[in-house]
Amino acid sequence: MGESPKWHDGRFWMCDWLAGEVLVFDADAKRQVVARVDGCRFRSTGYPMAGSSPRRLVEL
Amino acid sequence: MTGPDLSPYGATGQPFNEIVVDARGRAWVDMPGSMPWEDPKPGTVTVVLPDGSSRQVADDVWFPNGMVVLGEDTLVLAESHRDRLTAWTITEAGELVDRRVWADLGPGSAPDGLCADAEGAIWYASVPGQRCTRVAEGGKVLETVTADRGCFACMLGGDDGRTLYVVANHYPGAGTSDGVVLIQPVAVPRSGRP
Repeated sequence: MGESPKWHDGRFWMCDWLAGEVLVFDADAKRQVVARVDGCRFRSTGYPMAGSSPRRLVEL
Repeated sequence: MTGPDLSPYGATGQPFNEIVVDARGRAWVDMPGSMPWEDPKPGTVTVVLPDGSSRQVADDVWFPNGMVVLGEDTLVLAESHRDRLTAWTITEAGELVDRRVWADLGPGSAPDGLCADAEGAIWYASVPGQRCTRVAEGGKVLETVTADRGCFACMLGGDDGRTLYVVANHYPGAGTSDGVVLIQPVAVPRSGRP
């Protein structure tokens, strides 16, 4: 369940809400799980930020 | 799990949906008043300041969803249950003023995730429409990319900002997902925040 796509630091990032994963993809589309949170969002610049469910922002 | 430790940044006291951060590090967060399967109720927008404090800055937004900051001080928000993009001017003090309809998108559009490009147009993702559409202020449709499943969000990226990344999914049943990331080359590169 993909959401929150972002281009950050030369790579494609997104969240999988159902899995609670923050994902980063390499140029060859290989994916890496870089964090696990309960629901995700990204800050627009600088560091990623996730919104953990239900009501807290966390900085990654 | 090798990810970094998580540290709290702010809290709103309510469940939230989307977030965008402006040039001053203020996080704009929206909160639906109801879940998609419930009777619709209006939601709100809250700003979270760099010191972690927060306050509500807008209400009467109908399933607030994707947000983008155009230029330095225009916040545009998708109201999924009103098929429109709504804009405010962000003041120095971090208030939202001069609310207006940025684009009426038409029935069934239900805009979700947003991003902006260097010509000041906005790409929005549509779950029921199974598409991403590029619109100008005022609502003129400039371009559409279609998919075989609902488009939840889109973002311009790539080294030149000219690749549209689309996350698409059939609306999931209980715990199921068939999500894909689609890419589409486009002519006008990314701008705005995020």
